[in-house]
Amino acid sequence: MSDLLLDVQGLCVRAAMPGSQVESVDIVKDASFQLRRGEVCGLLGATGSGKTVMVRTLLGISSARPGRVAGDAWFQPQGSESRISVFGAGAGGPRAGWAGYVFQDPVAALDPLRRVIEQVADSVAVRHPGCAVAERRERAISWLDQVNLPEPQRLAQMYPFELSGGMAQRVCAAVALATEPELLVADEPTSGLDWSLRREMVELLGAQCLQRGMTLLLISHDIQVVQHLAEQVLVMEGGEIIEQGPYHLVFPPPASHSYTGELEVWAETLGDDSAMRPREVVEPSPRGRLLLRARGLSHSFPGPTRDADPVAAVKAVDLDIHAGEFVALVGESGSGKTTLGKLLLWVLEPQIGTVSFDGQDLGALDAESLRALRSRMQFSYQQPSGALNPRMSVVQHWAETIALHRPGDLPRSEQLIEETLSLFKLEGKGAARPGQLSGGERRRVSVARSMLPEATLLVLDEPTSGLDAAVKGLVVDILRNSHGEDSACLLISHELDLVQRVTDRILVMYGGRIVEDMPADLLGSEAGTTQLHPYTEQLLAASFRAVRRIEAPSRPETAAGGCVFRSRCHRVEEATDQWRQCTSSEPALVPLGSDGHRIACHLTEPASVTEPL
Amino acid sequence: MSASQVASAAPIPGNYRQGSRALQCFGLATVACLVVLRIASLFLEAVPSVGLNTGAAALLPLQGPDSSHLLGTDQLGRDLLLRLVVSVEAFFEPGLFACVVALLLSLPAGALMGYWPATPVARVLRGAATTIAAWPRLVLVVVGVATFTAMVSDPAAWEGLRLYVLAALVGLSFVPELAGALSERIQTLQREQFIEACRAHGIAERDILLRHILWSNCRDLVLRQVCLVFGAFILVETSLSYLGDYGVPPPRPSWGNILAGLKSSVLHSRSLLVPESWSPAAMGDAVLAAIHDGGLLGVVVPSLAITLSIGGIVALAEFLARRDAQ
Repeated sequence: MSDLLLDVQGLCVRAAMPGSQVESVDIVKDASFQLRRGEVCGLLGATGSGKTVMVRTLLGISSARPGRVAGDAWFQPQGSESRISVFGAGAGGPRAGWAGYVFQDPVAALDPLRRVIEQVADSVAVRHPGCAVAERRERAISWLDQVNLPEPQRLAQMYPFELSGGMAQRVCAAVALATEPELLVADEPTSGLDWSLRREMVELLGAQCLQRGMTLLLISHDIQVVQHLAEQVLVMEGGEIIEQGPYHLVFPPPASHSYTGELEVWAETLGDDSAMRPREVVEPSPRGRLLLRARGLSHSFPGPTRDADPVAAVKAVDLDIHAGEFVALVGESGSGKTTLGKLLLWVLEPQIGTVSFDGQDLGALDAESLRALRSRMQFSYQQPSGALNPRMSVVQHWAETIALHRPGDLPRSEQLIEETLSLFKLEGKGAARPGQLSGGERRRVSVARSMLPEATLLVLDEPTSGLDAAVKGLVVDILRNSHGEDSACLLISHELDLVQRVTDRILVMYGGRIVEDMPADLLGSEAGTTQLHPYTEQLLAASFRAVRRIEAPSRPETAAGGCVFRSRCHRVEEATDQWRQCTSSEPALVPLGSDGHRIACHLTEPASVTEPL
Repeated sequence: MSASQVASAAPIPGNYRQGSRALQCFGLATVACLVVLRIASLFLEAVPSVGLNTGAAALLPLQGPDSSHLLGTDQLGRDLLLRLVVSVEAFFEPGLFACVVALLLSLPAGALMGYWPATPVARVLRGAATTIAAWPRLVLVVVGVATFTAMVSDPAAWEGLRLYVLAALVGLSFVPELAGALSERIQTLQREQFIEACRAHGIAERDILLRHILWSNCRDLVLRQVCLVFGAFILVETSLSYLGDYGVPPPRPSWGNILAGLKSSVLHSRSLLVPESWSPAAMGDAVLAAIHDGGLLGVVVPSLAITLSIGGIVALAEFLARRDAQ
C-alpha cells in the first residue's frame, strides 16, 4: 500500500497518577488505525475520551506528562519505500517536518511577544533551513494570504493579542501549513470560534488539504464539523477506538455502540434531514401573564484605555417576556447577549432603563427584597468554572441552594441532591470539587445549581457550549422538560440550530440591539417565503447545513447613528437612496405580519412604509 | 481536551504530596506531644522534686541521670525531667491565648479591610496596622510588659498574669500580618466571578462573606497564621525566661530558665569537656563526665525541645500553606 501515510498498531498510553487511589490510568487503550495520503479523517469522541492524548503522543508533543507508551506507529514519507517508526531513534527529525498541528486555543498557542510574521517565518525555516530572512518573510506573507487573512502585510506586523479569535486561528493554521507537512492535525479547530466563523475555518482547512494532497486529521466532539468534511471517521470512547471506517458506514446504520448511537441521533436531529423541530410538538407560545418587562435598557463598559470612549454593550433594548415562553437570544460573541441577560435579572445594574419583574420595578427594590426575589429569577453563568466556589463540593453547592431557596424541601435535601445527580448523569461526583470535574461536568453542576430553585424566570448563558453532542442533548432535554406553563426561560446561545429546535421564540442580537424577534417556527418554514433580517440570514448561511452562501461585505465603521448592521449588510449597496436611509436613521423594531414577528431593518417592506424617509 | 482533563485530575507536580504528608505528620505529632505533656504536667504540680514549693526537700544538685531521675537534677537539686515537662504550662495556655487574641482582632479587621476596603473604618484600621507593624516584635513585647510591670502597684501579685500580658502582646504583634493577608485574600476573591455568581444566586452578603469567602477559602490561611503565632510565642516566652526579668517567675520552670540556670554550671565545668587526648574513647569519657557532673543534659534537652516544638509547628504551618495553595 503505497498511499499509506501513518500506520498505528496497538498504541497504549498509560499515565502514572501519583497520589490518587489508582496508580495509573490508561488514557489510550490498544488503538490501531491507518491514515491514507490525502484523506480527511475525523476523530470524534466525548471530552476526556483520549483523542488529544493519542494524537499528541503520535506527534511527540505530549510533553505535559510522560506517560508510558506501548505499541508502535510507522510513518511513510512521500516518495520513500521505507517506513519510519514514530517512536524509534531519530524520529524527532522527520516528525518535525511531516506533521503540523493546529491547536485548540489559538491565542494560547501563539507566542504572545512575537509578531505574527516571525512565527510563520519560523515554520518556513523548518521546511527551508537555508532560506534567507527576506525570502522567509515573503513566503510567510504568502502563507498568511493563503489562509484568507485580509491585508496580510499589515496583519503580519501584529502581535497575537491584537488578533480576533478567528484571525488567530487562521494564523495558527498558517504556522502549521508553512512547514508544508504531510499530515495536518486540527485539534478542535472550531471550539473557540464563533458560530459564523466555524464553517469558514473548517472549509479553509479542507481546501488547503485538497490543494496540497495533505492528510487532515480533524479532532472534534462536534459531529457537524466532522460530517462536513471527513471521508473517514474514528470514534473514541474511554480511550478505545470503538468505531472506524468511512463516514457513511459508521453513521447511517444503527450503530452497535451506545456512544456512537447517541452521536448519531444528534447527527440526525441536527443534521441535513428534515428533523428541524423538536421531537415532541411544541404548542405555540401560550403568552401567559407578563413576567418581565424591560424598557430602554442601556449599558456600556469603560474602554480599553482611560481616554477611550466607553463601549456600549447594550443599546436601548425593550423586551417583554411572558410566562410559559421559552425564548432564545442569539448573536455572535460581543453582540451584548450576556450583558443583556444580566441586566434583565438585575445581576448587573443597567446604567439607563427599567426592568419590572412580575409587576415589581427591580430598580426601586432595596438589596434585601431584591435578594428575596432571586429564588424566583435565576441566572446561570457562561463560565462554569468561574461560577462555582473552587473549595466547595457539588453537594455543598446544591445543599446551600436548597437551604436558601427551597427551605420546605430541607428535610429531603439529600434525596433531592441524589435525584439531581442522577438526572444530570453525575452519579458519584457529589463529593468532587469543581477542579476535579471535567468542563462538561462543571457546566452541568452550574446549570443544576440555577435550576434547583425552580425559578419562575431562568436565564441560561450558553448552557451547552463546549459540551459534546450527547451531553448537550441531556441538558437541553432537562431544560425542556422542566419548563412549565407558569415559568419562562431565556436561553442565550450562539447555536442557531440548537435554538430553533428547542425554543418558541428567537431574539437575534447584533451590536447591542435586538434586530429581530421572531417565532422559532419561522426558521423551519421554507426559506424565501418570509423576510428575515440580513444578519439572521447571514447566521443561517453560516450553518453547516445551509445551501446558500452569503458574501458579507466588510465596510469600514463610520460615524455613529444609523443601522448598527449597515457595515456588514449584504442587501444594501453603498451610495444608494437606501444606504442613505440606513446611515441616517436607526431602524425601529416593528411588527411584520401577525405572528409576533418583529424586525428592525429599513429594507423590509412594512418597515420602509412606516418609516418616513 | 483529554490532556487537560488528565492534568486537572492530578495537578500536583512531582513529589509534592509526599513532602506535604511528612510535614503534616511531623506537625501533628508535635502538637500531640505538647498536649500530652501539658496533661502530664497537671499531675506533676504537687511532686516535691519539681520544686514548686520552696519548703520541699531538695535532692543533691547537679546529679547525673539515674533510674529515679532520668535526666538527673539541676543546680538547686530539682528533678530535671519533671521540670522540663512542667515547663510546657509556661507557654501552652498563654500561647493559645495569643492565638485567640490574634484571631479575635484580625478576623474582623481583615474582613472589614478586605470586604469594604473603601470605608473610613477600613482606612483607620490600615493605619493602625501599619503603626503596629512598624515595631519590631520583641521590642513591642518587652516595652509592653515593662509598661505593665511599672503600672501595677504590686508586681508580685500580678506575676501569674504577666505571661498572659505577654501573650496578648505577641498576639497583637501578629494582627497586622494576619489581617493584611486576610484582607488581600478577600479582595482577590471578591474579583472572582463565583462571588458575583453567589450574589446573582441570591445568597446573602453575610453568607457570602462567612461561608464562601472566610470558611471555604480563607480557613487554611488563617490556621497557618495562627500556628505561626503559637510558634512565635514559644520563642518569645523562652527567650524572655532565659534573659530573666520578664519571663516565667523563678520557682516555676520554663525551658528558657532551665537553660539559663544550667548554662553557668556547664560553662563552669567546661574543663570536663576538654578531653585529655583526642582519642574517641577519651572524648566519650569527657562527654559522659559532663553529663554526670555538669548538667550537660539540662542544656541540650531544653534546647532540643524548643527547636523541635517550634519546628513542628512551623511544619504544620507550611503544610497548611501548601494545602491552601492547591
